[in-house]
Amino acid sequence: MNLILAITGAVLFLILAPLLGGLIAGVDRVLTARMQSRRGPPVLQPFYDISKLWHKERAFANPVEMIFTTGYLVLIAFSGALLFSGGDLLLVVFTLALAHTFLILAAYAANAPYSTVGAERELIGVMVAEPILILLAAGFFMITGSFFVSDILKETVPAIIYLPGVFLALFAVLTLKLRKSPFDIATSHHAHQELVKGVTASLSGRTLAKVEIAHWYETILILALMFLFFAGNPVLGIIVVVICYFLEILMDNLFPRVTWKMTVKSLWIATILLGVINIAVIGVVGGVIG
Amino acid sequence: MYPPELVAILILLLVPLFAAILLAVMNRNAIRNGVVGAASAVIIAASLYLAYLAWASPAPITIALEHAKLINVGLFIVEFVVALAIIALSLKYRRILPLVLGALQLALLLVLELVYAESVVVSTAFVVNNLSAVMVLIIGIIGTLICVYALGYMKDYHHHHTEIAERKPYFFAILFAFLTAMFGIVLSDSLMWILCFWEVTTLCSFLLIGYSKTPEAVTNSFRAVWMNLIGGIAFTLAIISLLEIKPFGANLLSITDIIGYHEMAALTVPAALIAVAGLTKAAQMPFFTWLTGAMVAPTPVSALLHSSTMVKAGVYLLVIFAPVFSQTAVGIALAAIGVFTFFATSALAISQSNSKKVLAYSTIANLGLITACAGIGTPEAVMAAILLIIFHAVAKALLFMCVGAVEHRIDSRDIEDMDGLLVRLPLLATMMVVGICGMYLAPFGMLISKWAAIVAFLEAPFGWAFVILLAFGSAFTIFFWTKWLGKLFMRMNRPAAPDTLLHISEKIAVTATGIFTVLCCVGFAAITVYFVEPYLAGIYAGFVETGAMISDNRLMIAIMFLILAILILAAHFGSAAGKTLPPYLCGRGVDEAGKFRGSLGVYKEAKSANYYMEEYCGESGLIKPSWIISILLIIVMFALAFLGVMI
Amino acid sequence: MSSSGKSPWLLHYNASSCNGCDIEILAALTPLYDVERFGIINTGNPAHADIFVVTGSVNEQNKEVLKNLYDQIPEPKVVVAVGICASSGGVFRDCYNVSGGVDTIIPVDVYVPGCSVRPEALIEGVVKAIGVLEQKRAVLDSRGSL
Repeated sequence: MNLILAITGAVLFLILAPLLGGLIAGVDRVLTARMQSRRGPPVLQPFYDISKLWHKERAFANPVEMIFTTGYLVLIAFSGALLFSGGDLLLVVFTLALAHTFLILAAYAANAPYSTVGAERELIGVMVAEPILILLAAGFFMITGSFFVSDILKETVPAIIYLPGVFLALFAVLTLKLRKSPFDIATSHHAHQELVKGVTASLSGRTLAKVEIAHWYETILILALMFLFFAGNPVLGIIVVVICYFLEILMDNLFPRVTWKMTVKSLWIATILLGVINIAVIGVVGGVIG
Repeated sequence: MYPPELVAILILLLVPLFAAILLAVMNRNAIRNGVVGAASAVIIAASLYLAYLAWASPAPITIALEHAKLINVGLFIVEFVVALAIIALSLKYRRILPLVLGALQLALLLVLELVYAESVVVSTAFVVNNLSAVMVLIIGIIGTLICVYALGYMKDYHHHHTEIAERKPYFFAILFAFLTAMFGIVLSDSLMWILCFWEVTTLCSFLLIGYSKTPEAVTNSFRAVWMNLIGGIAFTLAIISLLEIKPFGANLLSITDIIGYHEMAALTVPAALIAVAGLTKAAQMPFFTWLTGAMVAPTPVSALLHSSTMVKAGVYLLVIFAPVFSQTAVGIALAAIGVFTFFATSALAISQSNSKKVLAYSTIANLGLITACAGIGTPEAVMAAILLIIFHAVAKALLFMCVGAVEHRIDSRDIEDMDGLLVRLPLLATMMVVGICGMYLAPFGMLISKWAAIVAFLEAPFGWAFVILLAFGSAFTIFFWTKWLGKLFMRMNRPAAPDTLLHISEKIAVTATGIFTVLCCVGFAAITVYFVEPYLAGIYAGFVETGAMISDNRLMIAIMFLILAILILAAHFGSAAGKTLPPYLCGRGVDEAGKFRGSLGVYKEAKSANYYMEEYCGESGLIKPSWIISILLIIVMFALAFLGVMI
Repeated sequence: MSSSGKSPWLLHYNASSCNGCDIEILAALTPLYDVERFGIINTGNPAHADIFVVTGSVNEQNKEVLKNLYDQIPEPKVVVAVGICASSGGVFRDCYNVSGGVDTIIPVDVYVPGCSVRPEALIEGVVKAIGVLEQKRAVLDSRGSL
């Protein structure tokens, strides 16, 4: 029974996440345009982009890019499928790091200045996000006694009550994960990228398309992580996730010039002030109560 | 006739010693190659056999010797000789600190011999449990492979460094003597014997680090010796304090008896002293600078000191004391030092572009993690510690050997010069990729072990604090490894230099270690079930299968391996049809020499360098605060020890 | 309209323009004209681009750069010469250091005249280019080379 549920979850994620993720990306672009008093592209624009990229000539700076981008896509999808099949949160986090390593290696492989700087900064992004993701898994373990999503979902009391700091820190990191900020690394669709999109600078056609699709998977994955905090109260969870995403778009338009140094500082301050203190409080209180 | 276990043990102890003597006397390349090869083959066979025996035996193998008293005296003499040698060398080079510490150590040994001679009883000579079997395999296989590797390496070394006097007999003799000492440490049951071998490793490492006799090498070797002497002194004091306890019906110098001792509260002070001994040898904060300084030595020495021997002796000692640490507050303090070391040295590694320095800091960091696990001392933590020891030994040895061989091919050990190495030196670079992936990426060994460590921390008192430091430290780890990995995968814009041939010995050692690393990663579950868990069951009463966390994920990890395997196959056999774009420099072209014409007629190489974050992670900024914090932690540890705080 | 036409990404290169046309190109990105309505994105990266928009005449110093950028755009691709200088060399045509219009170096598909071009004309030109892009893609598709 559990196995069937797990497989269903994974398969549904693998099929639906890119559709939903692409749709979210489309809505995101329209909303962003509206905030800048533009009309913006059609909602289905991300899908048009992918379809076009898929029909471009195969070109690369280094043939290994094809393997690395495939690896990135497959591992991100695997990581999400793991989450949706009720798997181990820590393994999800580690797989995510492995997937990003593939993307970064694809950028390094080109050995061109923009790609390399992009790779470095993407790497910094991974480094910045890693602690809060590990702390998130640790936090869930401390309150539920399990790393498994299937066990966490069984809880009736939403984890947000115990882990508000971790949630807020994750929300802060979301800006980075959605490629909204920093602008000297972000690969979003704004016209204001520095570094010609850095990490994807040498990718084109299908390799670029794979990175985009992987990004849709990742969006759903990260939003699902946020949803986990409201396990036991799905309606509230969905509402909060939607609000969070909207706030991200708003922040993106309010602070379009956040550089990577500012990002590292602000996100780690957020991680320490919110996430670490939250974990410490739970640790101390939990230790006292036993 | 001797039982087969004893024969294997004696082979492991005596063959390297005998080889060392032969190598010291003979100075013909052909003979040296033969002796090293033959001795290595014998040692590998014996360690495999001994490991098999340990695995097949339901209880740890214990061996008592008739002439233990006699051996005691012999080993005492060895200890005196070691201490005297250190004092003599300190006098020769006029180094005050090593001299003072050496004299102190000598005095303590005399006290031990004169005052406590009666109470020193060696009931069991050797104990081979699964942990020592694992250590034997690491030393026996990785250690000897490094010695084989050294055959080819030293040829190139003297070819590149003509100013350094060639002392190969000396070099190889000490390498093998080192192996004997290491086998002694992991096989002996008596702390007295371990202390003797412990001091021998200190002396050997000292001699090896100073091999080139350059002023820097001499300074660094003396730094290594005084730091390790502190450890030796702490060890000796621990033995004296254990003898002072005078327990009823137990021999506290026997490791087996210590672990089974019922009055752990009495053991806090010796435990703290043992902890200091372990910290020095394992190059933990604040004693870590000897290991980074040891990088001046030829690379086989670094490989040997870092991966399979010297530092592993330190953590081995801590791991066997883990049951003591698990019940005392000393263990928590020790774990704090370990995890702090992991955090700080991972950050320091970011600022380094010298590949050997990066490896050194990463070694210290991983040893920190092992120390933390040993300090926590729960069965789960010890399991993580043992797994870390195994995976770190293989992957790190592989990386050192690769870096050493690469250095002789490209005349640089700087990571910045390693761009496009997969094109330039395919075998070495592939092995380097294997090693690096083995060090930090899922689903390979080190990461799985780190994962086990996180789980173990979370179940331990104050574990949440350790997890926080671990989370940040892991982030640093990802950063410095990935940027190195990225360099290797870069395409070559400039023409590759003609490939130079790798010595056959280097090729054998590197390939074998690479295969071994992959095997360990793939066979991780088997290692856990067949080696680690039986050991834990023997040590901790009431230990039940803890592999649950891993076993539930076994399927997922297997799928990940499958995905990676398919990707690697696809990379090899997939079509690479398509247009190759030149590197994008805003429309400027890069010519065959890898150069481009910039504005105002500038003509220079198109090259990009990594971030090193000097302002945040530089040695100048980080080392001093780390020293202060770690020294404070050691003071806290001793305070807790003297108060006898238990958990 | 196939997906190529719905998602044309631009690479803008200033060969040696006086910046008049460049300003108008950027003006087309502003809320008033909002070319993102057509899925157009200004990428600044030849590897991502479909349509190569060039302003200004080509001179001896940058003709190699122009050629490199063109070569780095994966097929199918279309070149739009924006402004009279890009189309023919304009008033700079006879200068000692000027090679002439963009078409002296790379094949041009759409010419947009004007000094400087108006955003409306520019958008019109790009929309024409989209048509060419689709034709090219259809040809490549039928050859099975994509």
